[in-house]
Amino acid sequence: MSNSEILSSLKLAGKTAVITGASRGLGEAMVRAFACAGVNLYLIARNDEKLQYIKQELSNYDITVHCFAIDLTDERATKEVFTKIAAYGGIDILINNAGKMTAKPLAFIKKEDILAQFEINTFAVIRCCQFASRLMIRNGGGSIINISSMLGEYGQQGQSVYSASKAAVGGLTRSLAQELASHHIRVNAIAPGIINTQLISELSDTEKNNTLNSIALQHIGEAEDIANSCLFLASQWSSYITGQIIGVDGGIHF
Amino acid sequence: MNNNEKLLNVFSQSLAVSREIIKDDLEYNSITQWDSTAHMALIAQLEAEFSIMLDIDDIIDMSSVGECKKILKKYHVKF
Repeated sequence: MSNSEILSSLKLAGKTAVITGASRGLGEAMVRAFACAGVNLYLIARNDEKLQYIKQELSNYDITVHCFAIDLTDERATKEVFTKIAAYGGIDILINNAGKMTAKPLAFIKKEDILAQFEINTFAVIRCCQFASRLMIRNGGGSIINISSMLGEYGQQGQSVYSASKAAVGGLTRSLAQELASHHIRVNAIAPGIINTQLISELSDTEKNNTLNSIALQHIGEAEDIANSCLFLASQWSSYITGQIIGVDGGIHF
Repeated sequence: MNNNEKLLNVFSQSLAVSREIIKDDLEYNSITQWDSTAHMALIAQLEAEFSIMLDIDDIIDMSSVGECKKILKKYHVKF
């Protein structure tokens, strides 16, 4: 089966997706994957220049692309974006990808560090789920995909706050799956392992090496591995899957 | 169709009840049909019908049909 036949079998062409954290790393790979599948896109990130660059790059695809340069920790701005999306006609898919990782040992964690990571990794995810689910109900259903982390499942030295904020996303995902099922909205999470992105570049070499030794497949994953998993969870091929945290981690073991 | 009619239709459809029982004093959770699941459907339909996006606080405060009208007035929906 060719790539185009595989993408066609997903039956995502003409659907509409919101992708947060769309300007780099995992989000940028998701944008390209969903554009290839013919999905109309609403891209959210803080960096407008980068969003516009990506939009320009997607101009050859037969899709519509709208960009919103906002900080998702701003509740009012988030509401304004979803109000505009509602006016455009709603959405079928939400990918909560925006995130922030700061490594600090327990003794050095300030309240500001906790709030900064929870604001974007957890609180903003809840807000986007609130707004998006209402738009999905209007359209008869949808798929919400939260990007969690294997650190949310296993934890890691120096990552207590990040791990806690991502573990919260796991609980949110399982609960919303129950709550929104009657509205035909599936809610799942992807827990990436070690992926080759800018966030990972912030880890120390020791942390990276230690983690690499614990990956069964013995290599760091690529952003496309996560993007492809998102395509699956957004598509009809996962129509009986909800409330799951799917590890995309090369068989990581701590 | 005026806004009162629209509101009756939204309540009737999202709660799956007859229009006759939809009075201003009908409260959330006072009938089995108006539970948290139906409330989500109600909010989604209200937003679609009146082309608005409600604040979370307003959704929480929407405890009756009468309260719903008061809240919608904040969004320039006239009754």
